[in-house]
Amino acid sequence: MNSIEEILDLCLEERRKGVPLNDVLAKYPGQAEELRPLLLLAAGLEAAPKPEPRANAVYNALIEAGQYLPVKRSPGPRFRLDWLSLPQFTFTRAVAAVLIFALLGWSAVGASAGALPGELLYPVKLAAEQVTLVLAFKPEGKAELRLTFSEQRMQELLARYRKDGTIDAELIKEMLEEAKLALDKISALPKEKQALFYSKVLHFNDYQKDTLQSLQPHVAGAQRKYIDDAIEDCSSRGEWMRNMREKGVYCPWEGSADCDWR
Amino acid sequence: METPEIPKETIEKAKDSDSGAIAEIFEHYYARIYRGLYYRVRTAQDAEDLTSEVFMKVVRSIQRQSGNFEAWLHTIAKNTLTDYYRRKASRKEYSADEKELEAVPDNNQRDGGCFTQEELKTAITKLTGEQQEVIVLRFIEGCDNEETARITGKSVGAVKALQFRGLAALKDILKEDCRL
Repeated sequence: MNSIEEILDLCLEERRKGVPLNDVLAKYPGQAEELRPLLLLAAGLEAAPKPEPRANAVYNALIEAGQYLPVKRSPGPRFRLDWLSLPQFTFTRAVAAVLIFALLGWSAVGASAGALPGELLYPVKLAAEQVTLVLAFKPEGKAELRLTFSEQRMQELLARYRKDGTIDAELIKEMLEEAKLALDKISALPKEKQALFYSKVLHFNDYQKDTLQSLQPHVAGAQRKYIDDAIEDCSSRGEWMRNMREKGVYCPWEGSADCDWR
Repeated sequence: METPEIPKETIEKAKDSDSGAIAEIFEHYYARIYRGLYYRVRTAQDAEDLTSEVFMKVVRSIQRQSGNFEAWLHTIAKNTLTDYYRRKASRKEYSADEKELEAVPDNNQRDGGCFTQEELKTAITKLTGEQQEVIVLRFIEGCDNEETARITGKSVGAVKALQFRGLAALKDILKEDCRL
């Protein structure tokens, strides 16, 4: 004689095969009363929504994971000379940065953080970004910055919309362009970091698409087309990137005909 | 089960700090671990934070991983969840922000005319840890008995017993709403 636990499990299997509840219970008349609510509940649990994490949550986790990964040294010559890391170039970059900040003024740079296009401090904000880019010596730092700038453009887009209800097409263009530049940087990354960064860009793209889609219903008229087009760009970019990854090809450095980046 | 097990070669590559393999593990298991945690914590934000915490632990300790990968991953998730409950218990009260985050999109839709997703979540969190684990694996993640047994480190018989006791306890918790 099977225990009630065993019988419940047999009934669950039957139900999963599509056998109607009453037919299943008819096989166990002695336990039917006890089993019925449990089988109904199990069906409710199986039908419960299966939530997905937000794309930016996965993206942020990937970014954080990248910080824990040790950089593996390539087996090449131990003292390979990289002109970009030569002391004189490092020095030149640092001097350039200091000069720019001196010209702009530290307080102006700080105050420009929330500036939007058309505002007095916005050019200061863009200049500060360029300085940060110059100061980032490692390719992975530059690539991460491109994503940060893309995120910045998106936040500006949303802030502008909240402020005066307009959609700035130029910001959308720059947002997509910065993300593309991040992807272009992959070829310069250490081999062992390329795939992870590729995943980051992919999730970042999904995150931007999600954000634009949540904005879409609130935008009407001619402005709506900018959002529609950007969502389409994100969709095709995401699809393209997933296809490339399935093939194990991380464009655009492979030079493949499939790498026709839009 | 929704997703097949990840190839052993990928795990080995990940142990060698191969970022592609790490990304593959994220792609493969992130949503699944998130879903498992979602039904066991208060808010979607908590589930996201915990999932991120789980995967940071995976990245930091994968070199020491041995045995079944999924079981190891679920053990990390289980321990992370235990820490979360401890933190919550020590805080007792939770903030207004968290209360706000609790609102879920289908809050007013009753599954099968019986209970809302939020009621279900609340009911699941009232089960014992072992019952929660088995109920979520079996009915939310869609694992069969053998997979559930492997992941939880229990026998198939024990899984069936926990499944029965878990469903019976859930029925008692939800009965007022569902007339089960």
